[in-house]
This record gives sequence, C-alpha cells and structure tokens, in this order.
Amino acid sequence: MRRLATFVATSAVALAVVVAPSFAEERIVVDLSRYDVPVSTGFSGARLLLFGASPQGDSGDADILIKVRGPLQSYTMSRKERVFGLWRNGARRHISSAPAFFQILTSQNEDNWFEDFERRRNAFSFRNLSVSVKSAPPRSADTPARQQEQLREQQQEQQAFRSAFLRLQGRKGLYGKLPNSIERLGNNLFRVNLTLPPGLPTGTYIVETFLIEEGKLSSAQATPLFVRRAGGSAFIFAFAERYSFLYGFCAVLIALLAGVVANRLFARS
Amino acid sequence: MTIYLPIAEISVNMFVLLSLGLGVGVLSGLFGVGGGFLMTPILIFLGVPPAIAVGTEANQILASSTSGFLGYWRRGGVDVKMGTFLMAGGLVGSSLGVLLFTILKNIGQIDFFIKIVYVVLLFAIASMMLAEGLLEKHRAHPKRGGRTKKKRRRNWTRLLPFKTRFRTSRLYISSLLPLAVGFVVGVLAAMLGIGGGFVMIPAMIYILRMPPHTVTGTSLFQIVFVTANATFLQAGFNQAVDIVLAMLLVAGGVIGAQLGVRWGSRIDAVQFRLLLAIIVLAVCGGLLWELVVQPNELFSITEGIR
Repeated sequence: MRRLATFVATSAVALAVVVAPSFAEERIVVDLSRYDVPVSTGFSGARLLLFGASPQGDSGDADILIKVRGPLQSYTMSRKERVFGLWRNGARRHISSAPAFFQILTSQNEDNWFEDFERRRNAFSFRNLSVSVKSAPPRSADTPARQQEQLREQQQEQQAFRSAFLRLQGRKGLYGKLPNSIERLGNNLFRVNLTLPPGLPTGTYIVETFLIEEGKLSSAQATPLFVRRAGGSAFIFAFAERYSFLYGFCAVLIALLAGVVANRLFARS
Repeated sequence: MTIYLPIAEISVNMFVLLSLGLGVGVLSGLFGVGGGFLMTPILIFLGVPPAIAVGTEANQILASSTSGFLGYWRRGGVDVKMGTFLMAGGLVGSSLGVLLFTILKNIGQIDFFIKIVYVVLLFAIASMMLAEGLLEKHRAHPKRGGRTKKKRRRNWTRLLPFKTRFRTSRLYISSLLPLAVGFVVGVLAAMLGIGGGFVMIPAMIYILRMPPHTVTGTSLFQIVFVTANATFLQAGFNQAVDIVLAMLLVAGGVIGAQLGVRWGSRIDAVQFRLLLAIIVLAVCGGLLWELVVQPNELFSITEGIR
C-alpha cells in the first residue's frame, strides 16, 4: 500500500514537472534504458543509459543538469574521539533528512555553476545539507562576543560533520558531482551513463533533467527509477526486518538441524 | 565467487568464509574449544559490523555445539541435572546480555565495547595458554602449595545454602554455584559471540569440582540452550543474525573440526598450544591496534536517528 502511495506521489511529481513549463515547443525529452534496478545477492553495481533530446540545438549554449536522487533517509553520524589513549565514538549529530543517493551530472566543465540555480529552487543540494545542532543556544547572560564565538564554533562543528557526510557518501559512490559527463550527439541529442554502485540503497529514485538557458530554467522532466531488492537476499532481509522473532526462531531451528546433520555425517568415522 | 550477505550487507568471497570456517574448525577440533573467541574478531576484521558478528556467531556456535553435544550424549558424558542448573543461570544471563547489548548499540558504543572486552579476554586466554604450555614443558617439578589452596576453596563453597545432589557427577554442592557460573557465562556468550566453554570448563573443574568425564558434555548442553536463546533474542531485538553467513561458517567448521580431531592424535599438543596462544595474541594485538591508532576516518554514518 505504501509502495503504491509513493509511486502515485512520484508520478504526480513527474507529471507536474513535465507540464509546468508552458512553452511546449522548447521541451526537453528524456528516457532511461530501464526503470527498474533489481538488487540481488550477486549485485555488483549497475549501469543505466539516460538519453534525450533538447530541441534548441543550433546555438548550443543551453546547459543540461541531471539530478539523480534516492529516497530520503535519516542518519546518525558520530566522530571518534580519543579517551585514555583509545579511540571511541564521541560527538554525535543527526541528519533528519538526506537522500540515500545523490548524483549531479552536468554538461559544463565548471564545477559550481548550478549551485545558484539550485539555491533559488530551494531543492536539496550539497550545500544545504542540514546537520543537527547539539549544544544549547547561547545564553543571554553571556557577553555578545562570547555568544558570537559559540555560534561560530557551532557552525564550524556542523561544517565538519557536513563535509564528512558528503565525503563518506562520496566514497561509497552514493554522492557525486560529475561535470562534463553529458555526451552530445549532433545538435539535438544527448546521452549519459549513470553508474550505480554496489550497496545501492533501495527505494524510489527520481531522475530530474533540467535545460538551463542563461541561468534560467527553460524546460525540465522527471522520471522515476525503482531500485528494489530481488532474489533470496531480498526475502531474507525482509523476513529478518519484519518478523524478527520468527526469523530468530527459524535461525535456531536451522542451526539445530545443521548440528544434527553434521553429527550424523561424522558419527561413524 | 562473491556472495552478498543479506543482514551484514557486505559482499564477501564465499571461499574466504568457507576456509575461515575450516581453519577455525580445525583449531577447535585440535584443542576442543569452540572457536567463537577467534571467529568473532576475525569477522570484524573482514568488515562485518561487530554487532552482527556477535549475533551470527551465536547462531554458528549453536550448530557446532549441537553436533558436539550429541556425540557426548551418546557416550553418557552429560550430567543433565547439573546442565539444567547451568542452563537456567545461562538463560537469565544471556537475556540480560542481549538487553545490555541493545542498550550499548543504541548509544553507539557497542563496537568499542566489543573490541575492548575482546582485547582483555584474548590477552587473558593467550597468557593462560602460554603459562599452561610452559608449565607442561617443565612438569618435572610438582608444586607443593597447590593442595592446601584447593582445600580452602572447597570450604568456602561448602558454606553456601540450597545444597543439591548431582548423581551423575557424584557431587553434593550448593545449587547457587552452577546457577552463578551459568549466569556469568551466559552474559559473556550473548555479548561477545562466544560459547564460553573456555570460561565455563575451568569453572566447572575448579569451582564445581566436577569429574572430568562429565565436564565437556555438560558444558555443551548449557551452550546449546544459551546460544539458542542468544540467537533468538539477537535476531528479535537487534536484527543481528545473518543466517547466510552463519551457515557458510558452519559448513566449513564441521569439516574443519573433524580434520582437527583426527590430526589431534598425531601432533605434539604442547607445541600446538603455544602456536594457538600466538595466534590468539596476534588477534588481540590487531584489535588493540585498531583501538589505539588514530583511524583514517574519524566520522561514521549509521542509518536512522539514534
């Protein structure tokens, strides 16, 4: 039921984005080589082909921005600290909502041109990942200078956690910026290879494609992508999560059985 | 051939796991120890999250100790009454162990806890083995003071109430003693992914003063029930049991144990005990290294808000 709801929601988003720009003749058209990525026991990553047509092609000064965004998820981060010479988890921060997967692919070489554009749209981006604040707000009894200093410390702390989050997710291949990754074919057509890493989080992804002319959005399209567990491991995972005690009971039975079988096999010798 | 472990959520080469099971199985066949205290840290080195290494080991030990228990049962080497008292203590202990484990997991300190307790435990085991091995080498000098010491200990345990008769072991001792031993071993088993035989067997010999022919079988009797309880609760509360991982280790382990038992009669036990002590020390050193040296990455991410 929940899955159906998310599907309807995503489809509605997709439709809304497609319909939004009224200047229909300037539309960008995009499709994926497949909409469904099964993650099974032997999953070692996947490649998808995204291809499309952007109608105004003669001048060639329009930029394409593609965002692949996974399902939103909350996270807890911790930082190791040294206590009596031993490293253990110390400070903790929460990230209440961040995509489990986030890649930005662009047609430009330059790294940050889309950040302005993103900020105006108030969408999730690398810069506005919000990290919880642990320490109490500055007390009014403190001097303004002291308050200022505390605030600055908090911001530095948050920045450290934020960049660590991006770094760790990036190392797993989950977060990334890929400038100049869109291949143009002639005037109108373009194609992109999306690389999905092993250990891909499951859920509903959205692939958004934006056509940007002189810093302004001229056309956009969103396509859903479904990443789901498949095969035996999917069954075991779902079973262990949903019916954890029954799973435990089965694990006990299987182990007992394995023990009896092992004993029978070697009892003679 | 790599296989994706559904609960541990990592991809590992299947043959690495099978040969790991085989190797630790050979050691346990040679020395008559369960091997959980080696397997759990090695799984952690392989990248299995410590919590899942512990939960999965309980499951694996359940299988291997069931197999061993049946062998002793047929030979009449199990004191069921004593085993039941040990088990009762063990069930309470392991349930409490899983509860403590869950609390530590929720405050984000379980990995640290597992590592540090293992460092202490492995160091203790290795030094005991080294001492024992070296003593055996120079056994020509019998100790004089040993006798009187043992007598004093016996007097202390005699003062305890709730005396019960254990016919198979020919003992008349306080039932609090096996309950307490079982309890302590149960806590350790649930939190560290071990059977606890190497703690329980010395306790049975020196504290309970059980005759040698019932010790191993009775300890296996307790371990079967305690690891079954730990598996059930670890899976239920912490989703920490990876059945695929456990069964791969079992497959390697049962074959390895048979090989170990067969080779055991041919090798020099004293030399090999020293070798095992060195292996245990190396694992201990590896864990200590992970705790002491500044990690490359200080930050870590877990899903969900804790």
